[in-house]
Amino acid sequence: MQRNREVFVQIGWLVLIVAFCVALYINACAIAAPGKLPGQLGPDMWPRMLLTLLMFLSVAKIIALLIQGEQPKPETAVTVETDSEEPRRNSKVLGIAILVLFGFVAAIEIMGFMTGCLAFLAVFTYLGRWRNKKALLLISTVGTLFITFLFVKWIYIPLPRGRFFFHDLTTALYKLLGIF
Amino acid sequence: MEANTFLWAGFVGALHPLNLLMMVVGLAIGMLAGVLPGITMVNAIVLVLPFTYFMDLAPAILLMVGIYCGGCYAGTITGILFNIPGDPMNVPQTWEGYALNKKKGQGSLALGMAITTSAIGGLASGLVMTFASPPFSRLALKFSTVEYFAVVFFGLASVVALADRSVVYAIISLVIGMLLATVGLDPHFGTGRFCFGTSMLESGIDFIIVMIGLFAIGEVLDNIEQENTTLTGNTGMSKVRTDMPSPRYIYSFKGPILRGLAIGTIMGAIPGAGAAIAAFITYGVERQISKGEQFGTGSMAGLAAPETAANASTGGAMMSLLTLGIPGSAAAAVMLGAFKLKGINPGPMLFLQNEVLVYTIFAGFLLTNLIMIFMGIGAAKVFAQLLRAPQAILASFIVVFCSIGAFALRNDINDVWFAMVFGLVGYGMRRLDIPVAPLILGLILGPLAEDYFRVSMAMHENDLTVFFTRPLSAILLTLSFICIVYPFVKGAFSKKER
Repeated sequence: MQRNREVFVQIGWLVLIVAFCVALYINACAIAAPGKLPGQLGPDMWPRMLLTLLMFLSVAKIIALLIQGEQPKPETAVTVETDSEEPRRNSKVLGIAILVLFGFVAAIEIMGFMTGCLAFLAVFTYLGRWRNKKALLLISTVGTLFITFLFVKWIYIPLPRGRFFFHDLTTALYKLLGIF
Repeated sequence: MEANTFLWAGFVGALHPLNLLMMVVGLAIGMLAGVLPGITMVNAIVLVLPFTYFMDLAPAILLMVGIYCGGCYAGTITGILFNIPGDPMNVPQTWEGYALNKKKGQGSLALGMAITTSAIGGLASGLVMTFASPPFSRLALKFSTVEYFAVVFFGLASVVALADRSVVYAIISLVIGMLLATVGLDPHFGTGRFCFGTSMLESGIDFIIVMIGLFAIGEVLDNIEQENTTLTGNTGMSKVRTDMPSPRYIYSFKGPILRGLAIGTIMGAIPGAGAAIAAFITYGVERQISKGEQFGTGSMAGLAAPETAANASTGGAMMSLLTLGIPGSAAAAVMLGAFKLKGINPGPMLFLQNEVLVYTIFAGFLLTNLIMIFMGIGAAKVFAQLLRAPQAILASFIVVFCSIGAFALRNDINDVWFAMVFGLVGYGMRRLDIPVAPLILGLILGPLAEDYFRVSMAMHENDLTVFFTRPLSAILLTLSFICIVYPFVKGAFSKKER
């Protein structure tokens, strides 16, 4: 039953790839080629060739999966002893982690790097199942300060300062910390 | 005589305090990255790339060489101590090294053997690179776009031959990478391809952003989903230390070491291969050749050979990068980015226009592998402690460094968004067992293949037979065809036997 489920998940993804390829192929046919000479290969040639190959491979794999099912993993002649069991997976934590990651990028843009980084380190570390809150806040704060000094003051990377109120806040913090 | 003069000048350059410092710093970063499962040696090189913008090219490349060599070795430390390979290239060494530690109580000797054979592999392949590159670059000057296309195509095809589980998924991953590389402005006509009217996509998708996402962010997501909080348990050694083997003991393994050296250097030069494949192939060869030795229960030959091969591949990959401008590995591909940041194109002309730089890199490569022996002796003890840190903290900082690295490339926040999106893609590919490395290879080699193909067709009036009438191109394309067909034929025979 598990194997059938895995096969259908794979078929689902492959069907999506084929659909995506069809859409991109139609788009590729419309790529303009100003000044193209007769017989010259245009900018659409290579993408169309790749998309055709990708569609062919995906359809071939779908057919193979439908006929044969999931391929067995190759046997290794060496048995590897492991002390640990396969860890359990928590998809809820994964979902929240994905939201936090994208939230971090948005926070960098809006709140500025310093504020966004501090919030992210605290939240993501807590999400990663480390529950010592005092140490977590300390590490997040010290880490943010160190990273800001390292990249803004010493390596001169103009990390985002945020928008509106946060821009002024970040500038004030930089002045307070002696970054500039 | 001239080459020796340049090599001497290269050593003088490499011994400059800044260059020496970069080698040491690079080795330290590389070892740290090789040891931490959430970040690989390639990730570390990717992360330092934006910062090399502020350096001269020689220290920048030597920093990356240090990371490359240190990272190749360091993943074996955790493999021997904790049964956790730091990188896929350290998996065969983990099989034997951990067994040597747990079953035979030879953990300290295994650590010493690993650092010694790794340095031997790096030094020997460095010498091959130093003396073989100049004549090879002179040969490469005679290549036209037809031969270059054949070389790149061979690199792409080698991914197929070396795919383990599903050849079709490896090719799908490769083609997706090549497709991603077409996003942006066409280099010949200047028209947008798959830009959908957004300026964000007109500048194309940088392969470094994809690498940050697929490798680093994807790994973080995979790890955070799993319910383990720390990485490591007991080392199995009362006191972690490295015992260096005697020269006589090393000499007794000359066969495995020499085989690892040969396979590693050749595999490193082939774009589709790299350290991981070199290590696995060497391990497989040793198992075939060994007489009566039980692999999997603690074989020192089984540790020495793949460890030699993994670091030997670095010299091969660098040779391919410097002489042809075609990176032999993902790490070399990032170094290509460093060259381009400085406006220098590696390839045969590099040997004519920048000889001192080239020989400084050669000399630095050799010195790095020497320094690695001394640093590696103490590394195991330090990293054994570091790995007890909660994974959550490491993962958080990895994401922050990745974001800064992605942003710093073009000072564009959109690159950070892209990195996160590719992080999701990387996670998905891991869960679906779709190989990630071919996608990166396609992303890097795809534009080269397209460019050489289109120029070749323009020069020869769309005559495809030109690829088969020129001898070197014909040989490489025939080998490519064998690479593509071989796994399917092998699969068909295996099914027949069953």
